[in-house]
Amino acid sequence: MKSMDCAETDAALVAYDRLVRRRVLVLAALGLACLAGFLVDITSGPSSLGVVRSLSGILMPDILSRAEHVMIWNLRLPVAAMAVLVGMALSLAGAELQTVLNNPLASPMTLGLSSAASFGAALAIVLGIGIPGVPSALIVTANAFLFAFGSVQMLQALARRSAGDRDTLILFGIGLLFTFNAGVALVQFLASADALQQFVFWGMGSLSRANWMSVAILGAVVVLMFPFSLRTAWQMTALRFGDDRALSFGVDVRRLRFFALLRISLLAATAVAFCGTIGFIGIVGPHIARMLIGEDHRFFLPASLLTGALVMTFASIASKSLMPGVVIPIGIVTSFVGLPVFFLLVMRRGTPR
Amino acid sequence: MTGLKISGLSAGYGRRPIVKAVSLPALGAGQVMALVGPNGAGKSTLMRAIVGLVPATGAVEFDGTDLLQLRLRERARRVAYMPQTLPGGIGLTVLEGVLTALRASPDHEGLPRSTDARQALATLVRFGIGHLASERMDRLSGGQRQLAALAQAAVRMPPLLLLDEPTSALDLAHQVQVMRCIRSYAEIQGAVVVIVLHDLELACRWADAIAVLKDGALAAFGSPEQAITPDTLRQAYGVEARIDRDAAGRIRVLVEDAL
Ligand SMILES: Nc1ncnc2c1ncn2[C@@H]1O[C@H](COP(=O)(O)OP(=O)(O)OP(=O)(O)O)[C@@H](O)[C@H]1O
Ligand SMILES: [Mg+2]
Repeated sequence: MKSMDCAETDAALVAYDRLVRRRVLVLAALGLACLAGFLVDITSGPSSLGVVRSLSGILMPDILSRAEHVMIWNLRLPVAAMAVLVGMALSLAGAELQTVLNNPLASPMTLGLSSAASFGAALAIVLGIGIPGVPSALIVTANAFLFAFGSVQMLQALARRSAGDRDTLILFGIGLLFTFNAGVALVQFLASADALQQFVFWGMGSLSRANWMSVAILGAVVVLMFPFSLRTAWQMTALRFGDDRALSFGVDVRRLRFFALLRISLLAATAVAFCGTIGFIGIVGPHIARMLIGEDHRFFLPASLLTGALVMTFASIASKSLMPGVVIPIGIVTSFVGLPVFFLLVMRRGTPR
Repeated sequence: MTGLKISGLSAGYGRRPIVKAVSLPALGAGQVMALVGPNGAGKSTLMRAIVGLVPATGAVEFDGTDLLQLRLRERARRVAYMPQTLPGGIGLTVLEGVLTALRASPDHEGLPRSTDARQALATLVRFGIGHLASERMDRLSGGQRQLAALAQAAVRMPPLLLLDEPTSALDLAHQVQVMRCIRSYAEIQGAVVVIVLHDLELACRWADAIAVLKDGALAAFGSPEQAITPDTLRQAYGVEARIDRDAAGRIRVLVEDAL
């Protein structure tokens, strides 16, 4: 009996090592896929600029003509980088949100976070209402963040009150969604024709306004937030077992939640501030990551980051190649891709395990 | 003083008192106490109060410190708790789940991590589920999930272990195995184990002391012989019961009728 236990132990340890190695490999593969997608994204587009020329133009900018230089360095590269970053931000936010609220359908979009951020941004863009003292370059982001964080706090208060009832939470999120959408509509109604046109396009969710400034800001937010996410990986995994259990392990659940929600708001709000509401990435990204890699958050969080980037990149490529000569706003593409996945998730929820 | 002593412990949800001024004599190191009583008596609430999940007044002295006064982290260092309800639908293997219990704990920061998996696995083997190590937790049976949850609570090897109905879904063999495990854990670690049970015969056979809870108050306390009598059963559960001993000297509870 004892010796059998020993053999069993060794076999299980070997199996665990193998599992960890496989997950690292999956992460590496995802990273490579992202890189490949990024390159394809840069080389595709309405204007005629060949694959080879685009790629060599990135490595050796000097060979490009002035127009080509602008095309690659001021349009395609920032847009492609923005696709990666927005995917990362929304997917990571979705992954953390799902764990923190214990709800696989939670995401910045489904819980009205994106709408809240849009509303905040709309106030700034259209009516010029912002927080006093914030520099004008950041006013849209700051507003978006403020509203996103406020609504996430409301959600959390509700989650606590309803003892983590999943359906109540989603319903409340839908409530927020409609409220803020109505708010956005009101702002649109009050807006001048000029501001309106700018805003409608923005509201659809598109990467077309990406520039190096916005890429730098969102990039900084992702790069700053991600290590903090990763640091809490074990505690977040523990939270999957419920508050009581996590608390009894010694996890300061309240603190963990607060900072996770702070990160989530910042990620979602910055993404929304620059690109408008882009739906479903926050659900689809984490869901694919979970299927590929499980819920050990040491791997799940980075995997969500990468799957988000990957899906967004594909969507970006699709938005350029579906209709020749036209770039469809990417929010429309992600919705068409994301909706079926979302329904699949909803249906699976009903089936007993 | 080593061991666990509860004095005047009251706890409840909101304004509603559930546990009412419960005092329990000291339990020494290496002892196992069973907490029994009817549904809704407040057994789970009592445990949750000790871990700090429900606001409580009174004192829970453990090895000379009042647990209720401790911060979360200090408390978690001394106490592990297995809740009654089991989590479902988690995409982790059993080994990962137990490893999480170990590594999420703040005490574990900065410790060498190479031995963790081994320690987690040893706990699984001890509870007879070593073969489930690589199994996904969301694909386990009810009893297997209970065993995994038990391993999660025990893996940090705390000096005070609170288990809320760890055997309710277990088959005969696993019930005995788990109780034997818990006993030897208490003895080898010099730990105190409090365990909520509904099976009185199991409680009588494995516990050093039994506390009977009824409507949030202590109805009886003592050795199995002292605590489990026809009188206390009538008072606590409202049943007429006969207490017998079988050939091996074990206590048998024969319920005749509900009153
Ligand atoms: N979260 C809660 N909020 C409000 N009241 C609660 C809560 N949990 C339990 N109660 C109430 O507290 C009382 C005691 O519940 P508790 O779970 O402690 O009983 P128990 O002895 O563990 O019962 P069981 O044997 O059924 O597990 C019950 O009347 C119950 O309704
Ligand atoms: Mg209970």
